[in-house]
Amino acid sequence: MSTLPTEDVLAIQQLYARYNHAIDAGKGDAWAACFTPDGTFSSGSGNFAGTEQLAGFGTAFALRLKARHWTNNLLIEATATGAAGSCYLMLLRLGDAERPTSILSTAIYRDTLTKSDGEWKFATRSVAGDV
Amino acid sequence: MALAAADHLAIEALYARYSHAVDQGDGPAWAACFTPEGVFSSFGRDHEGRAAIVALAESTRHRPPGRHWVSNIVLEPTDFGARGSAYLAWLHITKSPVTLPTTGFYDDEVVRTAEGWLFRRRTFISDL
Repeated sequence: MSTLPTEDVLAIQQLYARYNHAIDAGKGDAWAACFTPDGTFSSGSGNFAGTEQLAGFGTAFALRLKARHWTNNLLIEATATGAAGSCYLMLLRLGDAERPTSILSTAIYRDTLTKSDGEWKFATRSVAGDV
Repeated sequence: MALAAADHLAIEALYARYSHAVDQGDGPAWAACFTPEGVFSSFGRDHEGRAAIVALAESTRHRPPGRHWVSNIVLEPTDFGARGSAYLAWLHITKSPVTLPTTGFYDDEVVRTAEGWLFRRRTFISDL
């Protein structure tokens, strides 16, 4: 297993955190900016490709669900084209007057990342629910 | 005194690899997180050596699916390598609400080897 330089690992950790902040805040443009211009996102909610589709999904997500993405157990490996990443997701549904905050689902992300102009981005990101 | 940044990140990566391996029921990958004579101690029972850890994976295969969430990893350099301490939340994964049957912490001895940083000893201590 080959490892990335420390600065790259830290930059990728920051990308993973920025991604969670953006999606939960409904900042579709910031969320789409976590991907390459032709990046893809695949989940139980469908498949999305390219900045425009991604930004649309990212903006809509927080409107239909008040959520918090908690991720953990991040694995990063160097690859020929950049890096492969994988982490756990615990998706919290925030509580309201009717019910407390709860764990809505858990899942695992499998990602490929590339570095261009000094910035790490997701080239592909797929998330598979645990059940 | 702190570990070098690259060593710190490498040990954090070991922690992540461990959770992925154990949750996938991948005994060899789980055992590969330990030195050949490494010990995994859990609920007062020692599993010594990689073969014992592979056997443990086999014997726990029937258990309900779970996810090891590890957080608050504290690493300190020692004469043998590093001592690690971390929180564990074990999530029971079901279609009904996910529950947290077990929380606790890990007390770890981590050593640098030709295969990278590995657990020489990992002890799980339940919170309850």
